[in-house]
Amino acid sequence: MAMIDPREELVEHLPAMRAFAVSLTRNRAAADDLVQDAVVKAWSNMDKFQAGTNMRAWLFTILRNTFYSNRRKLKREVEDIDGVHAAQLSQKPAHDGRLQMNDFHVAFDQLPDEQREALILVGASGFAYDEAAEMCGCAVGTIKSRVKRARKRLAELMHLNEDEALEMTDAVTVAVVSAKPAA
Amino acid sequence: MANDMPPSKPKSVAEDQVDQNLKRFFDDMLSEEVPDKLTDLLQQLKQEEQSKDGND
Repeated sequence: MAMIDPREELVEHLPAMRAFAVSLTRNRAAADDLVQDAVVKAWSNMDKFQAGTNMRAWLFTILRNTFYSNRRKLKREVEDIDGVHAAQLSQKPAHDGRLQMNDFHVAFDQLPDEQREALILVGASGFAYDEAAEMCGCAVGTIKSRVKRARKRLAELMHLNEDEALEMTDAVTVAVVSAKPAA
Repeated sequence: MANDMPPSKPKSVAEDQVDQNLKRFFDDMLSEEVPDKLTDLLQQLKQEEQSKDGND
């Protein structure tokens, strides 16, 4: 009966934890600190992890809770990173779309936290809406609307082709969109 | 006009581009090497655990 210690699995999730942490903190150094805190917590609470459930979701939840509770503690610091982040990331070897990628980071920075996290969970990490909702402690509908608003806002900020975007509209969406004051 | 809502709405071009950027950002991060600080931390936690067990 080989019982694998779930702690052995932790290391496999470090890259994804960093990715999620960077999207929350928008800063690599802060992200690594955050992952560090979350790893320590996860390690010491591993007995609470239910074998057979999604460890990544569990870790992301810890990471996220750590982020919000740390941030409540030290509210400052987070603000001085505008641009730093985008510059860092754009120094990666150029592949096409680099310019757009830079636009993306600048735009991504401007999203409200809850929209950014919803989008990264659903749009990039591949979690289902209901999983993301559980991780964020909110209703599935809330996650859906955050993801939707985040996508729309990013498209606007990146000046992506809105005419194309509108082709998917139904009456309700049009009403919502036109009722919204321009930011 | 068969206008049944498809289970998931087809994404617009703009949304699709947003998602592509998002995935690229995430994948870029995934392919980055994990800093030593973090892998060392796991090592350290493991060792602490072992020495605890050893003392039992």
